[in-house]
Amino acid sequence: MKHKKGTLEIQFNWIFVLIIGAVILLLFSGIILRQKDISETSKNALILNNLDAILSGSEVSAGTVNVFDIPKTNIEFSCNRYSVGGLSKQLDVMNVFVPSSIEGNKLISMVLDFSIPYRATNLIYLTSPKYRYVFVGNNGLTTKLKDMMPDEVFSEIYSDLSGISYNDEEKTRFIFVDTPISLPSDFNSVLDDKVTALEVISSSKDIEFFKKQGTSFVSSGTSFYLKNDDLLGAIISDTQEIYECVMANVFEKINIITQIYLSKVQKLPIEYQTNGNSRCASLQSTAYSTSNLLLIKNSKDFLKSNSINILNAAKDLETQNKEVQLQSCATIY
Amino acid sequence: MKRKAQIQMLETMAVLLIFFILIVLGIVFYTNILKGNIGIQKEEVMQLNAIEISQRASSLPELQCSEENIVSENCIDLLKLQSASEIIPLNEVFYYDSLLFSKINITEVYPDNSRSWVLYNHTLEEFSNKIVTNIPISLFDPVTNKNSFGVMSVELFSR
Repeated sequence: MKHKKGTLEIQFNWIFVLIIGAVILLLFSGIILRQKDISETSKNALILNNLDAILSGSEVSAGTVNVFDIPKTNIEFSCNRYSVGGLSKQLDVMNVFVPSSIEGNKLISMVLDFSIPYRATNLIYLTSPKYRYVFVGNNGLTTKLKDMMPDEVFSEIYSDLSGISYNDEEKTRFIFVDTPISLPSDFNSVLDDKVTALEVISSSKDIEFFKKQGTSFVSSGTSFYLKNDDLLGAIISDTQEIYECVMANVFEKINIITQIYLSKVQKLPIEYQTNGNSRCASLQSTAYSTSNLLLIKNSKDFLKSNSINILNAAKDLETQNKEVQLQSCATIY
Repeated sequence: MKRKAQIQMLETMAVLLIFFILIVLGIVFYTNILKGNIGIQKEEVMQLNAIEISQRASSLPELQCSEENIVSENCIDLLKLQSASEIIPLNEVFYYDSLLFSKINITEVYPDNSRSWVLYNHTLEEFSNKIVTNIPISLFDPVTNKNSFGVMSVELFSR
């Protein structure tokens, strides 16, 4: 009887130790898992904040190229938003041309000013050194676009499809400039989401976005461009959605800045009149005419007809600006 | 024998109790440190935002002086400034994404210190923190071709 009681006591001790051991193990596992989540979220939040700081810093210095090191991650971009892991944030910087996703530990940013003919905004181009840009075409525009790409970006130019081979790059984007679009045979077996293409028709300034499907390309949308600066944006952005979203922002900014220039040009002859400078004041209906600025102001939406109006008015504004300069009066821009 | 076992059991439970108390104390201590770090990070993000907004404000093409589209740094065109101070407030929603909850004010300090323009005013009624950045700028009058000294004040508010 005594022996049986002792056995029971020992068994109970072991069961008690097992239960408490399991509780302690569970507690520590919970803490570790929670800590892992916190550290992951904290890393993602840091990337989001740093990316904003990088873009803001880049935005103010047009004509610069920067390469940034970031923790190895996958950043998803959409219209004005970007997300890392489960965290998502609105882009504080408005005009960023970017692929729909960037994977890796390095980012390349390039900034160009967008002028019509006065500076409306700075355009930011963001990509990865792991992405390959293949320009196909043999006209001046192809060379010009290839030359616009920063040296840090993996870009090549080919006059036709022969000789283009897959080099195990993360993503490939083909840019067919006034050349019929076709998938090089070496890319047939590459995953569909790793290959995209853009067709550029320079005579009409039309562009078409393509996705790879099996052994060919299928259209994913059409659009248009104003200048080579925004065409470069269409090359970097691999979706029509991102390109048109940025361009809609650019057009809104053009509208606001044009209102400011319009008001300035309306004020200039009045100010000259007040200061007794009748020579410059007399330019009100000629060099200080507001017709071109009004035309740009009224072209608010991102439409092809508006882009034609803007380009035509921009040319005339350049002439107006030269004229006021010749008259030694204040320039419009 | 029964009593000895009970004492042993009590000992084990006491050890466990102290062990769990130590764990709870550790978690409380760690959470407090974490909270402090979050506060520091929040302050850093706020300061980073203040710098970003100041950079953006001082390089707005809406204000910058230019000749044949060649921009002069830290220079504001007075005629553009007058127009922008009327037009930007009408488009506050557009500028909110880049200028957040802030107030941007430009004041001439020499020779005339009575002129001031509010460029953007989207402040918080109740805020916990405010960072003010003053940027010295040159104000250029394109009609008289004269420059004056001014200060761009950027106030950033946070909850």
